Amino acid sequence: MLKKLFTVRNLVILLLVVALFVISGLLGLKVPSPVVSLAAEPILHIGPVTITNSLLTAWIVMIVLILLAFFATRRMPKDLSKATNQELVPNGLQNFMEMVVEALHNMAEDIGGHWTPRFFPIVATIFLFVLVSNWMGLLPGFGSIGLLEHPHAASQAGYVAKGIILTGVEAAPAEGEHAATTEGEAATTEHAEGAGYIVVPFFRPPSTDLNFTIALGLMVVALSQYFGVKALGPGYFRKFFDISGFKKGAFDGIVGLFVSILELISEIARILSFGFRLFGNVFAGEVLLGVMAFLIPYIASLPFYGLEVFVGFIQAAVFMMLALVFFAMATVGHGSEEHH
Amino acid sequence: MDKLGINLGFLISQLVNFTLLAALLTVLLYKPILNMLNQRRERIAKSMADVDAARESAAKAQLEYDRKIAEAQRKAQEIIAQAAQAGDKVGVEIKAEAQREADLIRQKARLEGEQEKAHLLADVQSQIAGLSMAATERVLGQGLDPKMQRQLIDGFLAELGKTQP
Repeated sequence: MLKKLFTVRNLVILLLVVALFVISGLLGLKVPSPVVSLAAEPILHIGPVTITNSLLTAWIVMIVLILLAFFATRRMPKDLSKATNQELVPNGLQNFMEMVVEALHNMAEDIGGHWTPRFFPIVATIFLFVLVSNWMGLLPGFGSIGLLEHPHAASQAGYVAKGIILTGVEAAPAEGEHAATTEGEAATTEHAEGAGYIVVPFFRPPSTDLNFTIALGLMVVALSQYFGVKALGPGYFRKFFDISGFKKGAFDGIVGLFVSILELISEIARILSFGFRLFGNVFAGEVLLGVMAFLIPYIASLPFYGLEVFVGFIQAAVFMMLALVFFAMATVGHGSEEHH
Repeated sequence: MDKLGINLGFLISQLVNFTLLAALLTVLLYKPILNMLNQRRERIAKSMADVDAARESAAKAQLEYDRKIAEAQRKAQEIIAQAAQAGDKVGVEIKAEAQREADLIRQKARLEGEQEKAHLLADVQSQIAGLSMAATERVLGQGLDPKMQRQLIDGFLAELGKTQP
C-alpha cells in the first residue's frame, strides 16, 4: 500500500502542487477575507418569491441524493421473489448504498426496537441530508463562486474586482463616490453600502443556514411528541404537567410540577440545541476554512479540510443519533427515575 | 431573528424539502434496499439450510455406503471361507480316496507278489528236486527210490527255507 504511494509520478505531482503554491504566493495572489453572514443571502428573485443560496443548495443536495438512490437501485430486479440468485448480486454503487442503508438501519434497530420501521426513514434521511449538505460545502466553488455585490454594511470591507474575479486588494473606502455598477446591482442604495465588492456565493450548504437546522430540530421535536402520543396515548403529555405528586403531599406535588415544567422547557430547548449545534459546527468550519485561506493562502487550509470532513460526518451522525434517542425516549413510559 | 436569517418562509420551505426528500428516499432507496437485503438474507438462509440438508444426506449416504461395503466384504469373506472349506473337504476326500486306492493297489500287488513268489518257490523247489534227483542218479548210478528221494529233498528244502530269512 505504502509502496504504491511513493511512485515517481506521485512525487512529481506533489512537487508540482507545492511549486504552484509557492509561485502563487510569490506572485502575491491573495484571497479576500471571507464574508461572515449568519443569514443565507438571497440570490434569486422570482416574482414575490426569494430564493436564498442555501435553499438552492438544499435542492441540489436533494437532487444528488435522489440521483444516488436512483442509480443505486436501478439494477435491482422488479420482482424480488421471482429474481434469480444471480440478479441479487450487488455491485458497485448499489453495494455501497446497501452498506450505508444497512448500517443506518442496524443503528436505528438497536435503539428504536420495534419502532424502527417508523423511525428509520426519518433518521436516515436526516443523516444523509445533513451529511451530503455538510460535505457539499467543502467542494470547490461552494462559497467562492457567486454574485459580486457591494458590501451590505458600510463598515464591511469590500475588495477590488478585476473583471469577474475578486482580488485580495482591499478597496479604498469611498463614501459618496459612485462605484462602478458593472453588475447592475445596488445602484439606488449606494449610500448604505461600502465600497468595492464582496462575493455572494451561489451555493451555501444548508446546514450553515439556521432555517434548515431549526426546521430539522422542530421536526424532530414535533415528531417525538407524535411518536410519544402514538405509543402512550394522551398520557404522554402527563410528563409536562405532573400533578400526581399532590397525592403524597403539597411539597411532593410542587416539586413534581416544577420538574414537569422543566421537562417542558427542555423539550423546547431541544429545538434550539439541535438547530444551533449543527449550524454552529458547520458554519464555524466554513468560516475557519475561509479565514485560514485569507491568512495563509492556499496551503494552510488543507489540514482543516480533513477536519471539516470529519466534523461534517460527526455532526450528521450526532443529529441522527439524538433524533433516534429522543424518538425512542418518547415512546417509553415516563418513569419518575428518568432524568436528562 | 432577522440578523440570524431565520425566516418563516424559508423555514417552512426547508421543512417541505425534508419531507419531500424523506418520502422520495423512502420510495427510491430505503424500501428497495431493505427489501433486497431481506430477500438476500432469506435466500442465504435457505441455501444454508439446503447445504446443511445436503451435507446431512451425504453423510447418511456415506454411512449407508460404508455399511453396504462392510456387508459385502463380510459376505465375500464368508463365501471365500466356505469355498476354502469345501475345497479342503474335497481335497481330504480325494486324498482319502487316493490313499484307499493306493492301499488297495499295494495290497493287490503284494498279494500277487506273494503268489508269484510262492509259485516261483514251488517251481524252483521242483526244479531243484528234479536236478538233485538227476544229480544223485548220475552219482549213484542208480536211482534211489524216487519216493524216498523226493522226501529227502523236500525235507532239505524245508530246512533251507527255514534258515533263509
